Amino acid sequence: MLEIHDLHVTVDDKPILKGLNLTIQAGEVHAIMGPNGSGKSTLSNVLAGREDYEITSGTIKYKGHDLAELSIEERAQQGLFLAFQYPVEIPGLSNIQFLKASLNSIRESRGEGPLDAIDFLQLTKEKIKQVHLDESFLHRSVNTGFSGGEKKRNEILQMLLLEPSLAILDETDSGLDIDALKVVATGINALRSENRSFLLVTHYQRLLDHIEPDFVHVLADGQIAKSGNKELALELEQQGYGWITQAAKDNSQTSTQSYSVKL
Amino acid sequence: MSASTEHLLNNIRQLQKNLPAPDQPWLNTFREAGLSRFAEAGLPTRKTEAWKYTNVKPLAENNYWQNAPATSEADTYTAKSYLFEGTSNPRLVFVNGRYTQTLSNIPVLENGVIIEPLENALKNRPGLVREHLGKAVSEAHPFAAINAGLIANGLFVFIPPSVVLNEPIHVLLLNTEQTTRFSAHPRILIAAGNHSTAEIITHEAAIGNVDAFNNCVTEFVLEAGAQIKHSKLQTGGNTGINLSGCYVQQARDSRFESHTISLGGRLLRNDLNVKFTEPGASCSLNGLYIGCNAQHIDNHTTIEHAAPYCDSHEYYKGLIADQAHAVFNGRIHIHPDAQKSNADMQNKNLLLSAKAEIDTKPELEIYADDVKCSHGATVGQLDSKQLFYLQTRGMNPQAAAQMLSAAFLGELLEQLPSESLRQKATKLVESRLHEITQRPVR
Repeated sequence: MLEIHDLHVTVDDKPILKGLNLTIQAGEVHAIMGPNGSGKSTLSNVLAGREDYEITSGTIKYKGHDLAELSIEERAQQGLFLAFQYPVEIPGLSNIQFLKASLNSIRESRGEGPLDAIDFLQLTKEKIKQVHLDESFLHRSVNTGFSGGEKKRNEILQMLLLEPSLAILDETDSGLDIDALKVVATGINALRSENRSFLLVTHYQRLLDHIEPDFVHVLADGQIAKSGNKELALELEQQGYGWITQAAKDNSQTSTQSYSVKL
Repeated sequence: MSASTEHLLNNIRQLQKNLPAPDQPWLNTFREAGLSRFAEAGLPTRKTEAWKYTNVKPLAENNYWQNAPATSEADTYTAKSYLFEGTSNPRLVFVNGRYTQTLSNIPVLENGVIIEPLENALKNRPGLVREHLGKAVSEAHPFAAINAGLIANGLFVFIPPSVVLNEPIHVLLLNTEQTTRFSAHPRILIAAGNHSTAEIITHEAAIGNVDAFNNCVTEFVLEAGAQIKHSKLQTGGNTGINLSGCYVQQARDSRFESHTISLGGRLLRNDLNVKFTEPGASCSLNGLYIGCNAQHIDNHTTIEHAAPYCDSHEYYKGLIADQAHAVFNGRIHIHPDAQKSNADMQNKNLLLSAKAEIDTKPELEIYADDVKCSHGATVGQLDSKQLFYLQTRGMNPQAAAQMLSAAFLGELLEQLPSESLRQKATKLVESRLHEITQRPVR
């Protein structure tokens, strides 16, 4: 599904990712954890195609395509989805109009016709129930005046509608109360299947109480410093990131070779 | 008087000679007064502050000062497609400045309501027309003065006290392509009696490369407690000049609501002047404009708070693309005894190209000390984070730009009081935005 090899990324000429390797197979759920500033959000944004992030070397293969060759919308049309850490507000654009345009552009790229108004509304009403948002949110402007939790649920709603092949959730759990967290986790679990993969980018272990990952990686100083199974997340919760980040620093001091993890 | 003003004045006098001769001396006096006001003001140049950004020199250089050829069957046929749907509404159609009866519809009116072509009203009820004509146009606006000098065609509406008109009055002012340049100077006079209510929808349209000069003046005289809604849609025309003036006088506790949707015209200027003469009056002025190609769209508004306890709200939003140029000048004048005035004015602009230009200027003159006034003007571009968000959801950059532009302008369309106009305007805005955002290089 996704193969990242020796990825180096700079933002405003500052290196953020420094030789990241990661392979995600279809059906797998990966969690990337790490302290602030380790490059977690950079990774999410690079995958989605944000233009002010520059790939200086390395490759990203997604479903066999060179990801860098695909435009932002082509990535989305190929089933890549990013749930934003801070979803933008768009005053004046109704949520339902936005959702419809999204779904139909993706359908259109697959050569499918647009859903008609009635089918679309029925589908959307069904999905919005799953994220415990009132139907009135469909008629409000996109994310405008939504609380933090409502914005995140709206991201999950989009994910449920678009049914991506690879969903990247960028700190979707941050700032959520426990009920919202459960709603988000239930939404993700509902989509889990053998041909769909997830990349959960998170600061905290608690999301992983509700979504069991197949792999957990720790990102430190722009590289994957450690990989393991869900036990690693628990270990991090107890001991913090210090022991890994220190090791990563020591490692980059003694060796310039990139640290790679074979999965 | 400058040579060019004198030359113009002669042209206008020629036009005046062709008008039906008034059999009432007052009307003659009214026309003459208009012409002498123009002689005094002269054709504005860019040295005149109010015309700094809008060049009307072509009016002196090119011969617009003749009437359009007689309306042909083809013109009438074309005009049909511009009519609003629904047949029961009062509807008045003017093609190239002339009232076109075959396309118009004046239903049987009750309760003393009068809706008739100005020409007829001047014959049938000169006293009533005279009582209101020119009442709201107080200042020496050069083009309003020309309009007064050439007064003959147009529309007269009288709503007697306490009468509520349920159906909006539709007015279509359409200019069609002709072999020569021409001008039209219609006057629309709306007199609203005490506590009367009415809605007027004006559509100023031009077809294709019509090279005409439209100098329309709409005048509203609102008596105490009257409530008037006016929507003005401006479409079409790659050439030509449209100077459209609206003058409103409001008595005690009256309410005026205006919506101006400017989409078409090569050179378009709206003057909207509201005057509160008694306490308790309020107005809300909304405007939406989209400029593309080499269009020039100028909105000049003035609100005169000449009495205390009046409220004015103004909200104009514009999107400017290509090499288009837009101007917004909002003047609020609070007179010395107009205490407890409440005025707010906002102008927001979105520039879609590096060559697009907006000149926005709030002008507040406040001579009272117990008032609440606020104003704001913004100029921005499409938000890159919003564009990115839409693209990550599968939309291409063009579709995303169109969607965000529509979102920016949408709130002004939503406020249009008439459902049929809202649908029509929304479609027109949508297709204009599509046209602008689909261009490969801007």
